[in-house]
This record gives sequence, structure tokens and C-alpha cells, in this order.
Amino acid sequence: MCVCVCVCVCVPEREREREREGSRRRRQRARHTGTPAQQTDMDAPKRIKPGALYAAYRLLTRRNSVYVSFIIVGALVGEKVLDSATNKLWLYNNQGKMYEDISVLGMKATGEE
Amino acid sequence: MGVRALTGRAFSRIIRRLDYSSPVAQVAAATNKQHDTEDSSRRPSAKALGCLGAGVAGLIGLIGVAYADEAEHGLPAPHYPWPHNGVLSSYDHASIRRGHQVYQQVCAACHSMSFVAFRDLIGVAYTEDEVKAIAAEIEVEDGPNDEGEMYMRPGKPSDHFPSPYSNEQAARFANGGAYPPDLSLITKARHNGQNYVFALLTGYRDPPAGVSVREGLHYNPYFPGGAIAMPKMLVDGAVEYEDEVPATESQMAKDVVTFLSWAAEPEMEERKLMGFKVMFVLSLALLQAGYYKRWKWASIKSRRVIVDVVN
Repeated sequence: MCVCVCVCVCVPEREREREREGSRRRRQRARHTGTPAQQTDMDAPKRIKPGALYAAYRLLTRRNSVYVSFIIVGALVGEKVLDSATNKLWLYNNQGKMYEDISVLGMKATGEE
Repeated sequence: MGVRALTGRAFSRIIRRLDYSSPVAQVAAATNKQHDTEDSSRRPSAKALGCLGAGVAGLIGLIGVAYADEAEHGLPAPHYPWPHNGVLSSYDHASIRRGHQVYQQVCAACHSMSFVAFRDLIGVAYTEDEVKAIAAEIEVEDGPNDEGEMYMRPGKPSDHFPSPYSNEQAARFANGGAYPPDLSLITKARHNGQNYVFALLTGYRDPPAGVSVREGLHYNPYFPGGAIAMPKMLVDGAVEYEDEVPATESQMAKDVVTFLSWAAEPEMEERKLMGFKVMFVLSLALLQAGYYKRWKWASIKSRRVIVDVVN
């Protein structure tokens, strides 16, 4: 695994607090008013609209074990994908120049002997 | 008059940016302020004249450098469009194979390549059986046998390319005092190596009028000094290629330079691949780092600072 993993591998404490606060308030509000909480309430730290990215962020940073596993598995899978994509690009760019494309491969062994 | 006004005003702006507390700057600023308001007689200060003079002298000195270059370094070689020039371009392996043939049949008589082994060619230009056959053509002296005698044996793939001469003195003696350099790293050992070697091999010509080259040397403008001991070796049809590519002078030169480039930098293809992947990942990391930094700094950059000082 030659990919350099250079992100913080522990969900920061402040993030954890925010997550817990947000989920706690949502549970309280749901209990009191009986309505499903909106994520655009004041307890959300950001004013961005909820999207797939935000949902993925929430999903991955709740637990540190999930976060670290995501990084490691992501690095392994990402490296495979990057390697295969680069190799395909290399082969496409170098058609006809590769060792396998030598037309007279093997002639020296049979011709000279 | 216009030039003096320009230097005077620019100089005064530079002076103003200096520390005002320094007495020199203050005096200069005071005198220049007077000059700015008056539009008439304006004398550029001695400092301005001195700076201008130094700049002009430097520019004149640079001109001489360009003329000294060609006699010392040889004619600069043009930049040829090698197939392996691009960021994601590999060597032309068929060209490496042909180049090895040219080296073996034309160059190996005088030039050694003692850092390249036969087995390095496996998977690059020849199959393993071919390399074994090629290596077996040469004879190598091997260590003492049980009777304590040195003996000759046919070559193996692990042997290095044979040297035509046993040492440098023998090489010099056989070549009129000039040593044919080892070619294992020649494209890295010469400035702009690939283009230089190609230009050198194809650059033999009659010397210009008035230039004479002594007996035993040959004129080549790309060689530093202009007189090279090596005669012109590549002529059309000197070698017959297996794949029936016409063996013209420039074709042979191109193939042999590709072979020499591979010999000097066999790791080039892996290096380019790895470099591409690394740069790609690092650019993603740059985006992540930039976003993270801006996110962390957002609270500081958007705060309001009130400075309430009494002067």
C-alpha cells in the first residue's frame, strides 16, 4: 500500500460533540413535538443543504472505527482503481511500442542456433 | 529630459517606501519632494546614475557569454521528437532491439558497455531463450577451476557486455590516444544526451572554409572543440535489420540512441507511471488540504477586530 494516508485518523472531539448534540436535540424535539426534525434547524453547524455528501459524512464520522476502516479500505480500493486506470491509459498511449509488439520476437533463438 | 524625470520620480517613490525614521531617507525624501513640485531643472541623484550604469554594464557582459558557448560546448543539438518524450510515453521496444543490434555490430568494436548485463534485455528487447543464445556467442574468462587454472567458458545471461579492450591504456593505444568512452550511461553523462548523441552520429561533414583538422581527427561541429577522434561509423546499409526496416543512417542513429537511452535509464517507464500516479494523488491531497485549511481558518478570517487605541 504505497498510498500515503495523510489525514487525521481520529474523529476530532469537537466533531463528536457536535454530532452528539445534534442527535440529542433532534431526539428531544421529536419527543416533544412529535414531528421529524429538520436538518436545517439551528443545531446544524453548517448552513448547507443536506445532500449525498453530507449524509455520507454523517455516516462515516459517527464512530472512529468506521472512519479508520473507511480510510484503509478506501486506500486499498482506490489504489487498485488508480493502478488499473493508469495502466489502461499507458497501454492506450503506447500502442505498438510495447515489448509484446516486437514482430520478430524469438527469431534470434531459432535463427542463430 | 524625459528619462531623467522618470528615474527621478521612480527613485523618489522607492525612497518614500524606506523607513521614514532613518535620517538618510528623510533627507532624500525632503529633497525629492522639492524636485517633484518643481517641474524645471531636475538632476538625477548620484545613486540613480550608479544603478543605471551597473545595469547597462551587466547587460553588455551577458552578450559575450553567448559567443563563447559554441567553441566551448559544441553546436547545440536540436530537439528531436523522440517517441519516448511524453509524460506517459514508453520506449519503442522494437527500436531498442534494433539499436542493440547496431551497437553489437558497429559500436562494440571500440566502445564498452560494462554496466549492462545480457539479462537486462530479457523482457525489454529479447526473450530469455534469445538472450541465452546471444550470451553464448561470447567467451568469458572464469575463476580458477579445481586445478587452479583460469578457463574460458561461453557467456551466460548474467555476464555483462564484453569490453573490446582490457583496460583504458589499451583502448587509447588502439585509437590514437583517444579513449572511446563507456556507453552505459552516455545519454545521462552528456548535456542533452539523447539529442547530442544523435546529432553527433549524423553530424559528420566537411569542415567550413579556413578550418583544418589534423590528421587522425575528424570534423564534427557538435563535438566540443569540433575535432573528434571517432570516424563516421553509420552509413546507409551498414546493418541488416531482422524486421526489414530500411537501415538508413538516421534510422540506425535513432535506434542506437533509443538503445543507449534505455541502457542509461531502464527504469524510465516505471518512473513515469509512478510519477503520474503520485502527482494525481498529491493533487487530490492538495484540494483536501486547501479545503481543510480554509475551513479551519474560516472563523478567524471572518471575525471582526476592533482596535481601540489612543494616540
